[in-house]
This record gives sequence, structure tokens and C-alpha cells, in this order.
Amino acid sequence: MRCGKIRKLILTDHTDGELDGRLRKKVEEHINSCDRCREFEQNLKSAAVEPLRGAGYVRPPEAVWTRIRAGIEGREKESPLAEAMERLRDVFVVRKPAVVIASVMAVILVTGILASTVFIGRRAMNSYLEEQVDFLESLNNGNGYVYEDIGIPMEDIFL
Amino acid sequence: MQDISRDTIVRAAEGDMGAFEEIYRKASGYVYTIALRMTRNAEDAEEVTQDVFLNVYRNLKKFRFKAAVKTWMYRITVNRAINLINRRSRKRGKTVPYEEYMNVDNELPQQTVTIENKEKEDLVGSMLDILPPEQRACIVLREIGGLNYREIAEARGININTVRSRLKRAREKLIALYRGGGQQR
Repeated sequence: MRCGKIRKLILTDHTDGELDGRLRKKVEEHINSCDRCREFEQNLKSAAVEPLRGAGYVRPPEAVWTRIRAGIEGREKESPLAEAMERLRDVFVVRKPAVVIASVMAVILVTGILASTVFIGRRAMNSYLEEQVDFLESLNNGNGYVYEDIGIPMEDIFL
Repeated sequence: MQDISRDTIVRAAEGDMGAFEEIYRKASGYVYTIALRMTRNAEDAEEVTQDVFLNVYRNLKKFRFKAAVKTWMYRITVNRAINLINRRSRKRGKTVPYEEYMNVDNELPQQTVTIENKEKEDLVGSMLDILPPEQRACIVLREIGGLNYREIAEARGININTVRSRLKRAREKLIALYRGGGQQR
């Protein structure tokens, strides 16, 4: 195996333990017999691996838990509509505002139509708003409905 | 990340605050560290950590155990951190001094404030600073989060070859920095 290919594997799979037994053995044999590749591997470890792996973990200040708990307990006292509006605020922090703007306009339009209908009660309105916020949240990459994730960011479908 | 039992997750999802606190105590160090390495700022890392756990609390009922809890939390953490990085520029003047953000009152291995640790932090900082957010995310999830390629791909919503490519580019940059003497050693 040529040095170029070996170094690509050193930069990725070999260093990260992703190679299967046979290929790992081939790479190791090459490194053992090639001074330049061995030096390359050592440079990689010193430059990019050991400093980060040895950096350790840091616990957040206790005040973070205090704020989280306060946020949860405060939220539990709010009405479903207030919670929905707060969650909707988070959705505006997305990378592709065009999607959010289009979605919000659709929600406003449908809400306006529904609100004008005499027979729609407050409960139905709250339920609808909560549903729309859940949908918009799912546009916020990685959050919301994990089990509905189809693996393609919404922005890539619509833009 | 320490193992979190299914029973704990179910109880927390039902509103058991004690169970949710257990999840927080086991996972917060890892989440905060990932956030800190991504945002490079303690104040931002606290905000990300807070957001992550509030999000986890809201969505625990919807968690279907199709992915590992660790992968799910790291996914939210990195997404929130990248959103924050993209939203505002680095506040150099407001970076919390090392001695303040190295919280020594914790169950994880104590990080006492020593010159050696300060030098290590400066080194890690100079390394991560040169990486764009997506490469930084892959490096942080791999070297600090300990995720394998499949887990990183799931956490970032990308395919494994993209993980490989980002790690390769990030490491090439770090080697160039090392050779150029740019790392603060």
C-alpha cells in the first residue's frame, strides 16, 4: 500500500480505531517499516490527538442547574398558549430564515381563517398552535421530534 | 457520558424532577465541556447547556430510544453551539478568566487551577480556534465526546464519509499549525 493512502488512513480511520482487523494489520505493518509514515503518525498524535484527548471534562457552575430548574418550574405554571409562544421564539434562531418566514406566514393565514370561523373554540386554537410550533421546532436542526427525523434537513428540501 | 437507565428517562419524562436531576448530574459535565470547546466562551457554554437541558426536558416524552441518549444530547448541544457561534461574534473582551470557568467543585476528575492546566487550556484553545464550526464539531465529538464515526454522523445528520472528510481536513490544519509553531506550548 502506498504512503499516500496510508497517510489518509492515519489521518482518519486508523487513528480512530475504525479499521477492521485485516486492514489495520496492513497499515501497522507499513508504519513499522516506513520511517516517514511513522513520523507522520507521531506528528498527528502530538498535534491533533493527545492535547484534545487529555483535556478532560469541566462541570458547569451550580447556577446553571438552578436556572434550568427555575425554567422548568416556571414553565409548568404557564398556560399552553404562553408555552407555545415561548417555543415559537426559539424557532426564529435558525440558519435559513426564509423557511421560517414562509412557515409563519402560512400559520398566520390559516390562523386568521380559523379564528374567523364562529365555531372554533379556544381549546382547538391552542391545540392547533401547539401543533404548528412542534412542526416549526422540528425545522430547527436536531431538536424537536427525533423520531420523525428523516435524515434530510428541512432547509435542503425546500431551498 | 455515564450510562442513564431507561427507567430514569421514563420517570423524568413523567415529570419526576429527581430523575431529571439525575440525568443532569450524569450528563451536564459532558454537555458543558462540548459546548465550551465549541463556543470557546464560558458564558456561551452555560447558555447552551441550559438550552440543551430545557430542550431535553421538553422532549423526553417524545424520545423513542431509537438513538442513544448520548448521541441525542450531543446532537442538540452541537446544534445549539453552532447556532450561537453563527449568531454572534466571539466576545474576546468578555471571555471568562480561566480560574473562574474551571469550576473545581465537581464529581468529575478535579481540574485544579495550576499553571500546567492553564497551559493545556491555552493549547486546546489555540487548536480549536483555527477550525471552522463544522470541522470543530467533528473533532470535539471524536476526541472529547469519544463518539465513533457512525455516532458522529448521527449526531450531525451527515454521512460517514463527510465525517471522515471533516476530520481529515481538521487534522491537516492542526498539523500545519503544529509545524508552524502556532500552538501555544
